[in-house]
Amino acid sequence: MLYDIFVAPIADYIFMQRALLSCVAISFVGGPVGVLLVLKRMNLLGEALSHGILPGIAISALLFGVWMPGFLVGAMTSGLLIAWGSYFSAKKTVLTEDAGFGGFYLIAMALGVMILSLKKGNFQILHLLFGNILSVTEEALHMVFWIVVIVLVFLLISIRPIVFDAFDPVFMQVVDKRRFYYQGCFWAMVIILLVAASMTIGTLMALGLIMLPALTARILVTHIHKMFFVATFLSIAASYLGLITSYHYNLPSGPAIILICGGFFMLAVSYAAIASQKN
Amino acid sequence: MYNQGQRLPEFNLSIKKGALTGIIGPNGTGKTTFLKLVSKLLQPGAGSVTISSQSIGFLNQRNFFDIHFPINVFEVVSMGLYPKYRWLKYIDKQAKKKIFNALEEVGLTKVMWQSIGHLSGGQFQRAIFARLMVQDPDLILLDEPFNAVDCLTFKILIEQIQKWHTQGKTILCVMHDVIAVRQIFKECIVIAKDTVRHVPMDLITDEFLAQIFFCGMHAGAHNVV
Repeated sequence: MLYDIFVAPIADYIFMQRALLSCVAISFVGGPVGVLLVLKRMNLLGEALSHGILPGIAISALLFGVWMPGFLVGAMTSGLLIAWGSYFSAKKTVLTEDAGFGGFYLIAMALGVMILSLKKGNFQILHLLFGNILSVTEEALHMVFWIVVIVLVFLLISIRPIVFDAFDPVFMQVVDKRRFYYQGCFWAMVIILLVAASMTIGTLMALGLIMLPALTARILVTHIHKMFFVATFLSIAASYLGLITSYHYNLPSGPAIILICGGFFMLAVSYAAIASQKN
Repeated sequence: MYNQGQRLPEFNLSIKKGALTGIIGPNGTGKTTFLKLVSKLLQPGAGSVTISSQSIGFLNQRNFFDIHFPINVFEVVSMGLYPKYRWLKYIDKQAKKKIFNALEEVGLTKVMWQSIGHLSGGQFQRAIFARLMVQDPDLILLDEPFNAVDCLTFKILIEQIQKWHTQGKTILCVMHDVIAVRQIFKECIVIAKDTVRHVPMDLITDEFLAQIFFCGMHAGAHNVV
């Protein structure tokens, strides 16, 4: 019985194994990246970027179909245009940069959906917006693997300046003139990770797998290294439970995984609320 | 154009190496902007800033920090090693000793493994000073370092500033308390709405301050600026 519920769906089907592998790989680096986004107070900026990359992915899907290198180039171009637009609007108007991001990501999302609708049939739209476990092909899995390796190497090399920068950006600006470059690289890593997550979770919810476990970890533990560990663990657990649930109840995999992450988050909020009341 | 930073009055001044200089002025006249220009955090829209110092240490105002950031006191102080140790260099025994010494000097060894969220405002400020001690820069820029600190912290921080001065470091410090400025600093930069003046401390009379601030308050009173 337990085997049928928890093991069989993964053991018996190759597409489930691919989906799980892809989610676990993304969680492995998504946990620390999410924690860094939370600590840099850039949750909403990440959210804007995750939706802002849609037009690039949509144009690539329209031209080449589901082809990961195309998605990566499209997402990167889209993300850069959104970032530049936000920077430009902050320079030339009274808007702050995050307000600019807020405006541009809404435009980008509408544009992305519009472009996707040009492709005949609704499959492409739903597939890209909400994810589909069937979409994790062997080629996609390879690409996810390489993305994770690149992000992991980047994190291992640059974790020190990135954490210090999250704590005191002014200090880092004064002592390291290369700050602009590693910050840019960090955002490039966020974008390629979002593309990888889009394959299973969908672009609308890709950031959820990265952000919700990080927010939960922020509530539960008080040291950054523990946060990395807890966020990664929760992300992997949610991926597994979400995929199993989506299989048994024939639900879209993206929302199922994110709802499990959301469940962890709500439990952590409730726990913290009760603990603070007792104190 | 928006978000282009603050406009300072036209001025021309030079600060000698090893000078201990206080910066005073009414709110909103650009004291922090001045420090940011010196530290190259901001580029001047017109004119130029030339610095001969090799390394710069900048202490930001405390309210700009996330005091609940999940790292401990030791890690905050270890940030001072970053200019020398950069991305990957291992923090060896010698470096750790330097951190311990700095923590000892500011009286934080007992709390060094605690999260910074557990520190009082004064302890946090001492931890940031310990980071500057570990960094050991030639030019030290302090933006309101004594805001809301207790007497013990005030004493520790002042002693450290004096120590840096005897070591020949150049120090620029924005302050609001004119009494303290008179006690500690030998010269002063006064930044007002339409003038920037670099004067020796004995010229900072009540009349001079009244003229600069247009408020006629007594220069001996706390929080005049």
